[in-house]
Amino acid sequence: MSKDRPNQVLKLGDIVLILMVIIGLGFLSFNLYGNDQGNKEVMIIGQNFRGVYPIEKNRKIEVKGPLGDTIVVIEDGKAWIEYSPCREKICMKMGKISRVGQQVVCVPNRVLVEIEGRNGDIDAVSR
Amino acid sequence: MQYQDSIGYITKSIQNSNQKDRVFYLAYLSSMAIILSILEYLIPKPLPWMRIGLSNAITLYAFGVVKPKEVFYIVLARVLSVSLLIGTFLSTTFILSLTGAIASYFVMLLLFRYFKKIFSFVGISIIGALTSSFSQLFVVNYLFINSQLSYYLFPVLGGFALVGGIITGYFAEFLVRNI
Repeated sequence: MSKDRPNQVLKLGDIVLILMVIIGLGFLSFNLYGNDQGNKEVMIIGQNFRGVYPIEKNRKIEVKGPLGDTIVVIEDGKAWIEYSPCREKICMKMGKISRVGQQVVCVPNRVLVEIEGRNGDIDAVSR
Repeated sequence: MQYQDSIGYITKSIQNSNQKDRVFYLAYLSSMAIILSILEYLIPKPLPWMRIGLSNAITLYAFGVVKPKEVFYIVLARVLSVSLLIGTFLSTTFILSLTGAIASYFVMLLLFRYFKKIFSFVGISIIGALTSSFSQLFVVNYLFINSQLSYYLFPVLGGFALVGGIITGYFAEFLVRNI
């Protein structure tokens, strides 16, 4: 029936639109995902201690607990517990954390290390 | 109906048909949209938002054949019937698909009225798909989760909408040429 329709489907507006959408989405994703690295900080909570540190700066923090000093290390955008005086050393085996929401916990020595988003980041994701 | 004539592919039989024939024709278009929608649900997807929106091709096609009001009936019938068939009636999924369908209907109506010279089916389909996705994100953001999660999904959903919109647009063009 539609013999009168042109062979070429796309009009100029379509091509411009597609290009604009691609550019816009690229720009948007660059803005959203690009500077993800500088948007995190490490929160450390001890028995009588609470500190928030930027993740970019390498440092060693000693946190006093009921059993002794727990040593938390922040290096290369990652945080982990280097040494803990507790018996099982589970917190040391929990490894390095770098993403928002990840935690390392030492229950016997009352130490919590968590990566937090600075602002406008996701609080929680249900899975 | 000068609006229909301007699209350029209307058959005389539908234009001058009586009320009963029109209702049958609307039911026919709606059932095609429902079938396409359900077929799309059957395709396994890695992410639940990855929808091509093939049933939107019927909406696009209908814009050229019947009155805008009747296109709205087709859209509503499609969303309601599919939700009843899939089993999501009055659930979150249903609210979201209703939002997307109605929002994209009004945007595509505007495009068909005023921007038909600039855009083909593909362009209108892309804008409709983007509208659908982003209106759904808006509703999710303000009704359900109330967080800024949606900002992170913007590019992902936009990309899916772009690809799906292009596919749907070409499919609508195929329908117009072959039906």
